[in-house]
Amino acid sequence: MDDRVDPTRIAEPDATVVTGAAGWFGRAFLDRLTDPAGDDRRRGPLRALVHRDDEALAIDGLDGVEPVVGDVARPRSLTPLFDGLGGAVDVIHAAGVIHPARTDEFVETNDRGTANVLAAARAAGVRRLVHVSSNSPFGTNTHPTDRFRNDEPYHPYLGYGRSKLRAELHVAAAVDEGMNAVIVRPPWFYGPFQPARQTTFFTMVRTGRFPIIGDGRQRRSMVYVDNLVDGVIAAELTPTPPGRAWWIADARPYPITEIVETVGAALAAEGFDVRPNRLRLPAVAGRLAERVDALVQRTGRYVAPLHVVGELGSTIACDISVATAELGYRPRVELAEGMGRSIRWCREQGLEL
Amino acid sequence: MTRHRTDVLVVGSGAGGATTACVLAEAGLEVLVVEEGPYVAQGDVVPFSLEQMQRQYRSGGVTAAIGFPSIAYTEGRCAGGGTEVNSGLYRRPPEETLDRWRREHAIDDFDTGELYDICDEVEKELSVQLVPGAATPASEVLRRGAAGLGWRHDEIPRWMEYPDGGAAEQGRRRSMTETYLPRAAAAGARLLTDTRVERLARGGRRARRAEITTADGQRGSIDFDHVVVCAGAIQTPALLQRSGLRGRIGTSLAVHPTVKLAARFDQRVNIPDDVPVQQVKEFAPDLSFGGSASRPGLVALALSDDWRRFGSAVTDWEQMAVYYAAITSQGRGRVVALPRLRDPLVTYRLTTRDRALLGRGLARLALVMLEAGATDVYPCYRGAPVVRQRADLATLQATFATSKASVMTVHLCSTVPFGGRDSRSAADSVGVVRGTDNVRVNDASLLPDAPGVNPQATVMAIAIRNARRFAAERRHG
Amino acid sequence: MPSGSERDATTLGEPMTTPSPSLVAPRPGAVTRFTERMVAHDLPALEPVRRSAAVAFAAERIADLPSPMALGVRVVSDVVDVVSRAGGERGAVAVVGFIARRPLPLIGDYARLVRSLTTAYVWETWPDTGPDGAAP
Repeated sequence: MDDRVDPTRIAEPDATVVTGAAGWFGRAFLDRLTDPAGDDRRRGPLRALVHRDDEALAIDGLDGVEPVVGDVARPRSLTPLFDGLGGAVDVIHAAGVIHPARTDEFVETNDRGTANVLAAARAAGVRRLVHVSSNSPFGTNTHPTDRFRNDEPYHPYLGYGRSKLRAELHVAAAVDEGMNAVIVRPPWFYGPFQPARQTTFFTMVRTGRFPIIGDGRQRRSMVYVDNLVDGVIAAELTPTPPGRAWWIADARPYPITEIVETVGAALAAEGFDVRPNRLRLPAVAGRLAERVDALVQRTGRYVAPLHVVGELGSTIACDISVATAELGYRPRVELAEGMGRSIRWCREQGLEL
Repeated sequence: MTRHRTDVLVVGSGAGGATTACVLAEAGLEVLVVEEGPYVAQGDVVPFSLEQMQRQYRSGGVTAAIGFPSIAYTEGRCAGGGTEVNSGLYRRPPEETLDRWRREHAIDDFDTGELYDICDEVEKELSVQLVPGAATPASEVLRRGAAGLGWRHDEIPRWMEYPDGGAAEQGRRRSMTETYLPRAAAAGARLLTDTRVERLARGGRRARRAEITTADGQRGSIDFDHVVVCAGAIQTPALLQRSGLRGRIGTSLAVHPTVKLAARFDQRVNIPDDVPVQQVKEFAPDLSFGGSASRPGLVALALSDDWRRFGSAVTDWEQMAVYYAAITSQGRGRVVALPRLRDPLVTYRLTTRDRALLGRGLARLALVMLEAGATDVYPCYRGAPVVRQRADLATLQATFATSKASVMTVHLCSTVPFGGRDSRSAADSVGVVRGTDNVRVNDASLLPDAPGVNPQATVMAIAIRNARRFAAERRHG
Repeated sequence: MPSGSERDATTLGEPMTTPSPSLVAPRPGAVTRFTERMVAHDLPALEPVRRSAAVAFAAERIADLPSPMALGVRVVSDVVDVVSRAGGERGAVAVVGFIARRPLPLIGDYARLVRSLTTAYVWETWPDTGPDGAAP
């Protein structure tokens, strides 16, 4: 047992506002805050911004959740989020688009959307805002043993990276003007509430067709969604100075080969028939996909599989030691366990793998 | 035509040559040291000045390894060699590096404990110590920036002597001309300066004679029983090649490619005659950040990559200093002596990962500058943005290309790598050149790769180890 | 059979003849002409006496380059010289202006070498020089 003393936290807010509440992180977050058996159960209202009516319906039943249908890109639709909330209000801003239909969505949602949320939050006098950012403003690591430290120079990866960079700059500007806002940077997610693309990833591993680029030793940091929820709550409730930013991820980055093997083993453990992975592409294929991805995005279009393959040859790995030191953040779930839980969740949802 | 005769000929009087000469002379051997350059005493010229470059550097300091891009380097060419003109920073070889060399190159009887004991002796002889008194503002910039980012940094000691109660500026460098060369002379070694060894004439496995020319064009020769070549990682392989020795010689030049920036602050930070002693080691061994000499001419030089846009900053040179980001390189270079040409052709190839790391290193260094309060940062590559805030770092990384940058190195190693395996080394575990019985190398050429730290301490420790082995052999042989 | 020591001197490699400097060294005239125009372009306000000193310094350094580099500079400087002189005075100014602004392979390295030598010299010798070469 380690005898580190975790920093003391401030009390939960009187109300919590969550944007992107229907997304992967958003659902996991609401799940935690409404879990009657858990330590993070919130008593006050949970205002949840969702994009569509069917999303609102899906979360309406959760205890204490008040869905608001709106769009971060349209500032007026954000007013109901803060209406009538008294006392200390915290905002968790997780709304964003990663794989859009068109690249202008990056600017509308990630860039301007963040500015809009910050403005509305400031106007409402919120206590603290946690902005969910990404590894993308920092690009990729130069080699597999390099790690992103807590502070790194910006090197945004394509349109998504640029939009998330600009979102971080909006947060920094808001902090300069007196707002209490901090940033959490998660890498590649995995865990329950996963979207279709992650299910596709499982299928590819099951059928032995996940492309391993180069020697597969490139590392990827990943974050089990519940670990991310832990990290966001820690960032929200630990009284650090405004403007701080932290990597929130699993304890260590995983080599691609290990990811594929672990997912394969987890699938097998759940009774799936897993084919051995034979699909290897030379490193140059990854670089080619990157170039083509960049070209395609310049035309305003977006092809998700191309983008994903373009990143698969790279190392994206971060060091969470500052999050541990300043927030007491410790990831509780690691890859094998987390993948097992994800697969079981897919089963429960009736998803085909 | 002058003829000399000696027991042991030492070619070169730098970190390797001076220590070799000292150990062998003190062991009672007859030693003649031949040095291509002149004798210039410490204090005769201003450090890092143009005059020093002209008198104590090869080709006035204008030397480069050709490639895409070319990498500028400098070679000391004077009694004491590089130690007379370098920054004087001293760092022991890291234990991991020594372990790796021993393992991967099968170096026999290569004991870390013994090497560190030798380092203890060298540190005493060279008076290795931290700068007394307050840190200079240019050093403080690095410390402040790194500390603000939570990045590991330390103050690196130097081999300097300070008068009692003296300040940093009153230090006197404990270079070879102040330490091992006088000791060697006191033990009977002779030093011949302004004399170049053109070739070693051999008969089979034994070399017998060195053909020399003096600075005024006179020819001569030196007959010897043993020769130890310590002419530096460029000239040593060139001399061996001119002497007909080729196997794996000059094919694996290793350097620390370095890119720079100039940063401006709100207060005076420039220390014209000195270099900062802080180094940021957070990303070691891949990346290392430190401060460079920043005389006004050097600040102007740093801005000259994009003079049209950056030149106007030169009037503020007193508030500016030049800093560097150095990498350990996967790439390698070659030294090739060409027939009929005085100097060898030197080439170097950077790998893709080297190039990416240089860009990332420069960006991280620029971040240190911003964190330390720099108002403007001028990266040394064509088309660079002026970095004033963090968002500009994205522009830096997007526009950086090694081919646009002024890449340089001050460390040159590994052209006659030593070790126990024929297939990987050009010299054996004590520096005897393969294919010969009496030709040794004892300088930075022996290091199997560039160690990721200032190499002088490593060179000296290995040179003293090898020289002692040689002296013992002569006693018992 | 020649005796041991004489034989050694000739068995290996070519005889040690010093190569003729004119084979590899850059032509002083070509280098000086180019350097003058580069300095005039970069530092238009640098007074003539200082300009000459800077040019002389650069030319001296370039004359002392290691032979492989000297060979390269020789080739490039000759080409630049010929092209510059083909167009008369205005042509020469235009050529140098073009080179000073554009990153060209090889020629760009030559320009960078010249610029770095003259810049270092001017500010080492007269640290308070203005960015256009003007004395304070």
